[in-house]
Amino acid sequence: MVDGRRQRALTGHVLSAVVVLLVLTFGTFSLIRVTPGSTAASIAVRQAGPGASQEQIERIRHELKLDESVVTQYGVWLTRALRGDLGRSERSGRPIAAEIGEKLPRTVFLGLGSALLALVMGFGAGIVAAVVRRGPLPGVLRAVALVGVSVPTFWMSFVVIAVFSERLSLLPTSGQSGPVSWIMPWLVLAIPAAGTISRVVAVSLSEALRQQYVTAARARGVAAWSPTVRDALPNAVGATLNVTALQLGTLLTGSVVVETVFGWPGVGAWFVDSVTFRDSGAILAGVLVFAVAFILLTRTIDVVQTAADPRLRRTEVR
Amino acid sequence: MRGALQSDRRLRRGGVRGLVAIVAAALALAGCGVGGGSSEPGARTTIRVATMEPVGILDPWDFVGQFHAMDLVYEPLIAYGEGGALEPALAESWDVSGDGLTVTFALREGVRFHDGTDFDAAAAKFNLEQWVGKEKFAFLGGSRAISSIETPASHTLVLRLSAPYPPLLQELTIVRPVRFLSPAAAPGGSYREPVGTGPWKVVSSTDTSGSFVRNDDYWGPEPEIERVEMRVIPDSQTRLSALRAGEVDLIGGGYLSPINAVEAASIADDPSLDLVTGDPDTTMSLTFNRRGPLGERAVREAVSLATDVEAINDVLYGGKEYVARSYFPPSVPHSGTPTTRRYDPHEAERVLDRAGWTMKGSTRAKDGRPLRLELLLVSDPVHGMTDSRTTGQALQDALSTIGIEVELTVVDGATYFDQQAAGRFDLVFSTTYGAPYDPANSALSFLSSTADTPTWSSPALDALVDRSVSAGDPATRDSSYQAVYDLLERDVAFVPITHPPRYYAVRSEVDGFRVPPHEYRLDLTHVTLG
Repeated sequence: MVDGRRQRALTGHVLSAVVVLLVLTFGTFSLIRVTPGSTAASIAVRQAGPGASQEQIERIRHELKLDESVVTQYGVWLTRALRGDLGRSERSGRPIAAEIGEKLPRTVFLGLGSALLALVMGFGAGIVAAVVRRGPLPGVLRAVALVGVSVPTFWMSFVVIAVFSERLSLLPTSGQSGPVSWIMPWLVLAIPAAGTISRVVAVSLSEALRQQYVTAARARGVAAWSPTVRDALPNAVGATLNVTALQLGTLLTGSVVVETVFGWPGVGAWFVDSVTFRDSGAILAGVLVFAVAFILLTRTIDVVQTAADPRLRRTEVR
Repeated sequence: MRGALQSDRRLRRGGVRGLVAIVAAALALAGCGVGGGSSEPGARTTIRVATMEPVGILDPWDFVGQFHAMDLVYEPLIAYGEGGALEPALAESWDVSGDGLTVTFALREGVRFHDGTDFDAAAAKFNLEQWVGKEKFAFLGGSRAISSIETPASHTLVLRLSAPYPPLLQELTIVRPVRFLSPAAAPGGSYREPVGTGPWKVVSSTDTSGSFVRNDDYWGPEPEIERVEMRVIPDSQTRLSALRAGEVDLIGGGYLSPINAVEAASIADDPSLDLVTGDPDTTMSLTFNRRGPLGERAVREAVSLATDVEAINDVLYGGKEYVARSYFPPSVPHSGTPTTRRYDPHEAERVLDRAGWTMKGSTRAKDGRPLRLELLLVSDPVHGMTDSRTTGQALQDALSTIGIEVELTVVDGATYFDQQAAGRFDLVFSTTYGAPYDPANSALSFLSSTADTPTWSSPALDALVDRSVSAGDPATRDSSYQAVYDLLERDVAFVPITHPPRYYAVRSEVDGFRVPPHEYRLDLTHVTLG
């Protein structure tokens, strides 16, 4: 009985994801068509070098099947995509699936590293701010979080490059030459998310610490840190999960800037280049990748949240 | 390792810096095997060059590979020298018949491709056949003009043309598709690997880097350095930081890793860096759409008189040394004499008054039609384009003082090309193609009614452009092109604004770097590293 319900829920999730992806890709496909600026002209002008002629543009247009109706084109794209063929990049001449296969792991690596950093820094600062209630420390942490959230990522990137690469010669400006080259991109991407997470943790944890069960535990003579970690924190985590999930989602979008500035050849920078170039196949593939990532992320968070908060489990069963 | 050693030194200073150093050192030690080696400054026989794009697929008959990597590997028959001088490369000499219909090349003997294949007439013919007469390359006049390719002797190549086409020799100096790939590297004419005759051989290339090693069997002057390491850094600010931090030795070039004027100024102030500036090879002009008020000569003349080109250049470059006074900069062959255009806003007002455009409030009008112009600008200048947004604002200010209202329309690159092609603008900044294409390519693409997006055309101009492009002897070419420029000036067909300088920057330990004759070249022959 319960199994059947689970199966139905799972089928529902998958179906809704498929519908979302179809709507999204068709929408993107149509948008590319109505957006001014044609791929053909871009390719001809930028790649053929000077002297691109109208005939050449028409030839490229025909090669790309841009002279057929949008539904036909989408149909062609979809049937190929279902077979795993995302077409060829008009910019590099290479298969798009291969390019994504190369670049996606790098973006995932960037995202995971900074997510870890954001969680450690966010929860660390949040817990400290909630527990230490006297002195200037909570105020300082609040100010730092505010700055971290407000400063634009690209600006922060240039500041850290100027300090750590140009002045101190400690870290390489860009590229992927081992762990030293990961520090700045991870950090810059993590800081805004860490800022938000730390504030939410601080607020919900200090609220939890005011609850009676904490006072009761203290009265029983338990060490001061113990109720914080054992009782209050799990309560606070439930509330912060939503915000944390949202922040991790922004890591995906933040990666676009960070990848460009730090020469990190992931899908983010690649996607932006594709848009600039009107590389329609690559734009579609990029939208697909980001959409799937978001769906997976939100579903995972749903599951984690249900696991973490018994109240949610109960409502689902009922 | 380097990070670890340096951070050890830093540690003694303590504080936050020390903490960062500990983390960095730990990670550097952990990741020693992964990389970092490429940024080691010990080996000074390697030059490290920043590029904005990956090397890509170096198929000479496609449009996707990076120009400079191709230039390192592949060579043309004829090289483009300073000021457009045609110099022998894979052809030792050439001869054009009196009727202009036959071009005979004496190919250099003893030249081998990197794979050991002989470069001979057969190899040359095989390469030419991949683009001559092919629709894909019809935009090249040579592709249409050449009717047959003959190889009467092992090192003699004869091209027969269907009609005289004098720009052919200059066209053979460009990067693609006219350079030579080993026939063994393209079985059946489909590209497999980058094997040329050039001074550099490809070792490897990824989307973050490219490695080239010196070709020790090179027929020409051998480079002093042994390796070229390209590092892909898409962001221009980061490239400059990498140069400052000593991670790369060379940046610059419009298509390689562009430097803007602001960055150039800060490089000039930095004692550890040398700014190397080349003679401009392009002109950025203000051009007009005649389907609107600018169809009237008086309005164009007023715009021209009211445009303070010197002030604009002051803003762009902090000086007047790049002010444009002609359609092509002096380094382009047959660039002619400067125009007599001047700045005189009062005269501009008188011209408009005489033409019946009278002030109504702050804007002039004629027959109830206000004098309002749309200036089309690009928000993300692609390589080779000057960022013209500040110039646009300066122009807007200048024209408002004489009663012309200018509306700035800023769009992204792809849209910009579309709108320009569709003629949806009144004013637009237009830049000539530059070496090695000019003057013929810009003349045919911007000044001929048969082009897609001519910036100016008229039957008289068509005839003059035709005569200039097809003139066989240099003296006739000179006088024909001058007639083109004179006609443009009489019609007030454009306002020359600036000849954008060509910036490169090297670390001061780099010696012997010279700005190449054109922006698609990367010449490292005489470079040494101190």
